[in-house]
Parts: sequence; C-alpha cells; structure tokens
Amino acid sequence: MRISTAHQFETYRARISARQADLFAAQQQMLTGKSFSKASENPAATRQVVSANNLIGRAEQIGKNLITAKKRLSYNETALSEMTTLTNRARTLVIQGANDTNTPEAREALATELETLRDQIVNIGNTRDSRGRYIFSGQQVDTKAFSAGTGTLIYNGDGLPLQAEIAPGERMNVALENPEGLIRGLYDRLNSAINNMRSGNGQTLSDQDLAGLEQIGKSVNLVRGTTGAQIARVEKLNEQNELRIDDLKTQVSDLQDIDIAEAITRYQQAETAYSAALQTVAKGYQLSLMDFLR
Amino acid sequence: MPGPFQGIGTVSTALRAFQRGLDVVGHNIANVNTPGYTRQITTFRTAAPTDLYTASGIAALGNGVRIDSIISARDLVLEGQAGANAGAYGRSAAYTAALTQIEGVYGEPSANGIAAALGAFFDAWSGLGSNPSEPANRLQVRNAAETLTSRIRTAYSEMDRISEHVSASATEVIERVDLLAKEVAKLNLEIARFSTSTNRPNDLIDQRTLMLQEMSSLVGANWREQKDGTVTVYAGGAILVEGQSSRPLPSTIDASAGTLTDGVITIPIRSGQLAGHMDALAQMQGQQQMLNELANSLRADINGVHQTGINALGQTGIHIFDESSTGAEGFRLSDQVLANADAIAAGVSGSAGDGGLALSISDRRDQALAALGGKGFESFFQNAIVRLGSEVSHQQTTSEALLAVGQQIESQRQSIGGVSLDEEMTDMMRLQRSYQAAARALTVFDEVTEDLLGIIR
Repeated sequence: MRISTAHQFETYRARISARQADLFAAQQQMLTGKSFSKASENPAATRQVVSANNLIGRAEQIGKNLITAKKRLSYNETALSEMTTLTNRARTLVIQGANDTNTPEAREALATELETLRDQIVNIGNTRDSRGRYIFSGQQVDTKAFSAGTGTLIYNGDGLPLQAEIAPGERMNVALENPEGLIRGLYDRLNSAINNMRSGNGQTLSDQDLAGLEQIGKSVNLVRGTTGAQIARVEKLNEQNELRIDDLKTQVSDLQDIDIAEAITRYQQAETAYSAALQTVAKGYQLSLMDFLR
Repeated sequence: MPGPFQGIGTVSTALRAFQRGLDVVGHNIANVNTPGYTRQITTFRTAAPTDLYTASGIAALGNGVRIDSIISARDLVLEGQAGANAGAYGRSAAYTAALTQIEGVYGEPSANGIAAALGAFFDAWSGLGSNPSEPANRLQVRNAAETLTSRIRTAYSEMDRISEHVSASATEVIERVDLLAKEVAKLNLEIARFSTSTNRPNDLIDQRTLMLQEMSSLVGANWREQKDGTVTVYAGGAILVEGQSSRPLPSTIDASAGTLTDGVITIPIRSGQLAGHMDALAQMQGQQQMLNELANSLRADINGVHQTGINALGQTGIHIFDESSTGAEGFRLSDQVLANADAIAAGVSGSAGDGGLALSISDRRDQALAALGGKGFESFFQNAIVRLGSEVSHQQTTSEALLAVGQQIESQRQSIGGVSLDEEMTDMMRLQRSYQAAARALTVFDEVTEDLLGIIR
C-alpha cells in the first residue's frame, strides 16, 4: 500500500496520542485509587456502589439511633434499680414495725423514715436524663412527671411510648411501660404503711403492707427484666449493624478500589508502550530520500 | 512533410513537456500539507505525426510529446464513503461530548451527589423520629433537606446552561453550513467554466470536495455530480446547492423530533454534528423531566405526610418544601422551615417526645409511587443514573468504532491520492534526467542544422 507523507505523519501523531492517553488513564487510576470514577465507566457497578453507599448511610443512622436508645434504656434501668433498693429498705422497716414489741416512739421513727422513702419515690419518678428530659413522663418529656401536693400524687405525663428505629423499618419502645402505675403503686403502699405504723396496726402492716411491698418488688423486677432484655437486644443489634457496615464497605471497596499491584503493572506497561512509540516515531521520521540525494 | 528544423521542433516539445511535468511535481511538493489535496499526475502522449514519403509509401514521423492531461488521483467511491462516515461520526462525537458534560452534572457515584442526599434526607428523619426532643436532630433534618433541594436545583440549572451552549453550537453549525453552501455554489460556477471532457480544474475540485466533506460532517449532507461538472448538494432530502445557487438551511431547531424547520419546510437531520447536538438537547430535556418528576413527587409526598403533624411551635399544616413553586427549578424549603427548624413536626400529637410522624416520613423511602413508575425515590434516581451511564458508555464505544472506520477510509484515500515526498523526489529525478537528455539532444540537432546551413555558404 502506498504511504503518503501526510498519512505517515498523521499515523505517528495518532499512535503517540493513543499511547499518551493510555498512560494518562493508568496514572489517573493510581492517583485516585479508584478503578472507575464515572457511571459511564462501569454502569452496572455504579448501581451497586450507589445502592451500597445508601445502605451504609442508613445503617450508620441506625447505629446512632441504637446508641440513643441504649442511653435511654440505661436511665430506665438505673431508676428501676433505685426503686428496688428503696422497696427493700421499706420492707425491712415494715417487718421491724410489724412487731408489736415496738414502742410508739420506735414506730414513730420508722414512720418518719418511711416518709423519707415516700418522698424519694417522687424524686425517682422525676428522674431526668442528661438532656433534662423526664423519663417517666411518656411523650411529655419536658413536663415534670409527678407533683406531690398535700399528700396527693398527681401525674402530669401521658405514659405514651417513645419509639426509636432500631433496624430498618423496625421500632422499639424505649420508654418505661406504665410509669404512673409503678410510682403510684409504691407511693400509695408507703402511705398506707406510714398510717398503719403510726396507728400501731402491727397485724395490718404484716398482712397488707408487707405483702403489698413484696408484690411491688416482684413487679419492679419484672420490668427490670424486660428492660435488661431490651438493652441486650440493642447491644446485639449494634454488633450486627457494625458488621453489616463493614461488609457493605468491603463490597464498595471491591467494586471501586483498584488493586495496587495490578495498577502499578498496568502503569509500567503503558509507560513502556508510550516510550516505544516515541522511539519508533523518532527513528521513522529521520528516513528520507532527501538525505541521500547529492 | 518534415522540414529542416523537424528535429529541433520535436526535441523542444520534450523540453516544454518535461518542464511542465516538473512544475506539477513542484506543485505536489508545495501542497504536501494542504488538507484535501490530491496529488496530480502529468500524463504524456505523442504529438500528431507528420506524413513522411518513403520509398515504399507514406510513413508517419513522430512529432515529439504533448501533455495529455493533468489528472488528480481521486477515488470518488472512497470520497462518498468518507462523507457518509464523517456524518455518522460527527453525530456520535458531538453527542458523546455533550453526554460527558451531562454525566458530569450528576458526578455519580459520589458522596456529594443527589443519591447520597436522598439517603441522608430519609436517615435524618429516622434520627428525628427516634429522638424527637433533641434539637440537633431537627437541624439535621433541615440541613439534609436543604442539601437535597440545593443539589436537585443545581443539577437542573446546569442542564439549562449546557443546553444553551449546545444550542449555540447548533446555530453555529447551521451558519457554517450556509456559508459553505454559498462557497460551493461559487466553486460550481468556476469549475463548470473550466471543465472540458478531458480536463478538469483539479485544485478547485479539491477545495470543493473538502467543503463537501465538511458539510457532511456537519449535517450529513450528500452530493451528486452533474455532467457539467457542478455538484448538487442535499441535506435531509432538501437541496442546498444546485448549480451556482444555494439555499440556506431552515433555522428553527426541534430537538426532540430531530428536524429543522422554517415554517415552510421541515427537514429531518439524522447525521452530522447537528444531529448530535439535537440528540444532546433531547437527552437534557429528558433529564430535566426526570428531575421535575423527582422534585414534584418529593414535594407532594413528604408535604402530604408532614402537614398532618404538629411542630415544636404548636403549628399544624406546615410544609417542608415550598408549595408555591413547581418542578425542580423551584424546589426549595418552605419559608417557615428555613426561618426556624422548630417548624418541623416530628409527631401528630405535638408532644415533645412523639416521633411517630418523623418515623413515617422515614419509611416513605421504601414506598413505591405511581408517579415514579412504581418505584421508590432512591431506586427511581438510581435507575436514571445507570441508564445515563449506559448511554454514555454506548456512545463512546460507537464513537471510537466510527473513528476507526474513518481512519481506515482516510488511510485508503491517502494511499491513492496523498503526496509522498520520497515518491515526488523520484519523479523529479526522472523528469530532470529526461530534460537533460532532451537538452543534450537539442545541442546535437543544433550542430546538425548548423552543418546543413553551412553547406549553402
């Protein structure tokens, strides 16, 4: 085939240009660390990467929700624990007071301590978390849960659940169930014990108040058990969530990140090819009939 | 009957002919870099003989050499192929260039893209719903919504900007084609004047061919050569050049139909850069429509749920997205939410700890919507991105293939009509030697004539 001069040089230019483009592409890969940066470079992988990144974002939000849930449940657990301690102390006092060998003065002392415990119950009922929200108020988190006027306990909350999204589409109630009932039950029982203590009704103290306190102790333990289970579940979900995030990140990396060894090899190949093209052109261009004519 | 100066005459034809031959070689060398130039070849033939009376009858005595013609080495079939390919490649290349820009508007996959903003938006609602009394979570929702609206608005206006540039390029193409048509008509006139059955004005034809190839690459024009040497040029079935008159293209572009119209005639343009620009404009119209659908669906759906809630200021019926504007262009947060993040409602009861509404909004991300073709927000957008990416990839491959074909055709054209300096050098040596021989012969004839004249002293 005849090779015209223009065609010859055009071919040189085109080859050098093509090898240069290859070299540049290999460089870009090494600089960005990504095997593709545009959807057009790999449409199928792009879909998977975008989808995986969205799942990672969602899982990270779930992670934050789980941390918030756990903090809240811990406050619940602490309050319940204090209630248990208080209930046990009250039982001890009632057992002591039920004994008819007590003097009225002794019984008065016990009643006074029971009054202190009763007031503490209200305080427990008004526990606040680190952000100042009342944990017994249900959804009325900024409203003080209990006010004890002159001997009557008023509940200002609504006892409604607080839902948190702990898994995609899944909710958990992180508020205490029946907060009014828990506190009021103990409050009323203590009031009863105080009255019976002052009235010297040892038998009633033993039959009703002690039994009542024991019943309350069991109820509180039940709620503590439930709360403990919730905390365990949240911890487990957190673990699983973190594993899921790791998995997804690995997926994205597999799809998008280059293998450094492979990239370096490709770069060296491109460099060699470019160098070869340059050398070939330099040699080829030097040959001309004019050099040989006298 | 040959005269005494027959020999001198014969040899001097050689001198003249070979000198012209060298001129043609010189012309070729001078035009080695001229685009569209096809090398010219001098053909020689013998001059008409003179009668010579011999003992056995009349013989023909040669009279030397004449230049038969100067022809250019062009291949009309290859020229036609080159034109067709130029049109196809022009379309693909122009479309691909625009597609690369269009793809760049979204920049996916990216943490700064619309897909990520969509995800973050719904994530923020999940956070608010799980802890509605935390003020930072309201701010997170507002920030995420602000980012989402901003990115969608920006993408839409970027499409506008690119469309403007492409439209301007398309108009430039039309103007250029009109100019070329006028030039071709002028050349038609001159070429017709100089053409005979055997000789053609080669340089003018080369120039005209170059213009025709350019018109092909711009609007997919094709041409037919007439007997008088003129060419008739067509585009989309309409005649642009006939003889020495030309007509401008209709100038109103209808990108979605792929036609040009001037109210009187409508011609389809299926080839050339102009077709590529129209493809790009149609693609951008499609992208903007997609963004509109996304924005409108978000606005209607999210606002619809949100307005049933009571926000931290005790108000109800508040919108997240501004309802006084439509589409992606006007997609923004409502004034109330912009002014105060507490305008965002987390629940329907108004209680500080009620996050049910926010959780419902978060759940909307998985809802299939009829307005989005039965898809959810995230998958709707992901599909659009992947479709665009596939289109770009496909066009790039097509473009590369057409370029390779074009280079092949050009290579063949060059093989036939391109100037090779080495070859011209060789021809030059041949003609130079021939000229030397003829000149040497002339001195001999001169001496012979001198001898002849010397007899009559």
